[in-house]
Amino acid sequence: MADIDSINHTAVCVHDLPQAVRFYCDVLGATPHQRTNFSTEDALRGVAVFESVIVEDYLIALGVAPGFMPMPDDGKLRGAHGFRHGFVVTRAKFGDVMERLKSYGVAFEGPNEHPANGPFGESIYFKDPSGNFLEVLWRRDEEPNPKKRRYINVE
Amino acid sequence: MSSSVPALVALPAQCVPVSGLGHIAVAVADLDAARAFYCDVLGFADSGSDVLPDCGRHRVVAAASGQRVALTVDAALPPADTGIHQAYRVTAGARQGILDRLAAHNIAVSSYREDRPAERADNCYVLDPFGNRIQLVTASSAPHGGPAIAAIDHVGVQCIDMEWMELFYVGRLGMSVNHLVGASTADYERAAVWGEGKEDMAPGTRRWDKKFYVAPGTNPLIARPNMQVFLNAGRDTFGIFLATKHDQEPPEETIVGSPRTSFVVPEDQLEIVAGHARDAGLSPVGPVAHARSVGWAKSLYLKDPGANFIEFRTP
Repeated sequence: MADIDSINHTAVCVHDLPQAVRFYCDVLGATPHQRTNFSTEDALRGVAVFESVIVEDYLIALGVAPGFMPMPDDGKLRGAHGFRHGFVVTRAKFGDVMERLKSYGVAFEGPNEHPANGPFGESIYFKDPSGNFLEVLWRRDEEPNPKKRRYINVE
Repeated sequence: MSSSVPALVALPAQCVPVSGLGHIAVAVADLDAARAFYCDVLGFADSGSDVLPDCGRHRVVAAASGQRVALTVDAALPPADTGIHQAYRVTAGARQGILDRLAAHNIAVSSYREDRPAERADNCYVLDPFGNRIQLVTASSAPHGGPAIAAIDHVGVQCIDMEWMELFYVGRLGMSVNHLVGASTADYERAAVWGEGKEDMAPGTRRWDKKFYVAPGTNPLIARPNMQVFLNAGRDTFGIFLATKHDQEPPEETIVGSPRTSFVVPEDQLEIVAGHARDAGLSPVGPVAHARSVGWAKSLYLKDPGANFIEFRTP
């Protein structure tokens, strides 16, 4: 057993910060958390510009890429362009996520069914506005009362 | 026509209806030299002395739009090489006349570039005798045309925290964002072009940052966009630039001062703005009623989260 408990956060490079924050908050239901390098104090230290958002107990730091990243074609919705984030939702909410994506005009691939003897049920695949691959899935072994932990205790 | 782009701070349910910039107060050291430059060279109309409220000793000059500029005697003149500037709208014809007069006075003109789409055209910049940077924005059709300065187009101020400013002006007052600089890769790539010496950008729009890691023998500095946000202030624009160093701020207890920017709002909005200011932890003064000779009825004064002197006044 590893000493590591879980993954805590990810820094994701994006091409347009307001657009990315809006996507992660409006479409994925994240909450805006904190901004860095919006002040002279940070600017003097040359800190990168980013805004972090929180999804449940997970923090995503959206950083502005200083140069355009080579991104996959628009039509390619599923892949691992360096990395892919897979978020788990309950089976009951899986359909809501698809409806949300449709209402915001976000193209997705799936749902694709996973092997019946594995822990994953179905996945959908899509990208954030900068082209970073994302996935949402439900698990066959979902617990009725999964551990609820929040990044910060605010409502 | 003002347009708006996605902002980092959401607009409130009720926005304060700002119709535009009213008068502005600009710091000068000598009233006669100021009058000569603003009237004889730039083409403002001379509009009297010491007539505007809370501007100290000043000379008033007016644009064709009726917007006035109070040239106020101030001990502190503007810091050099910041985003602070005043932009005046002119027609192409008026601009040529101004350029001719500047040339006759041997006053240097710069042709910097800027990021905001509305300012990417060919602008000219000049310093007044006291170091105020003046931008002439050429409008294809200025509603108040003629040979003189047509209107105040925009004002640039600075702050030490962009988020404080956006939370106040966008989140509380409801001024929408016209253009945001420094939060997209496109801005970073454009800054690299400036770093290579291929683009002459206006002061305050770019900066040299120290690299996090410096390989031996390489340049420790990297060109970056300096964060800016341009807000729609009715028909005019309010530009906010991130300060790249700490400048001396006015004393904390001084709320009414100059240089100052005024926004025109309906009279019933003054108390609403005062409430927003108090909620933001600011200490507004007023609304203050003026004599009829002033030209507008009431003003509310505040010092914004960037320590800029701001006035909200009736039409």
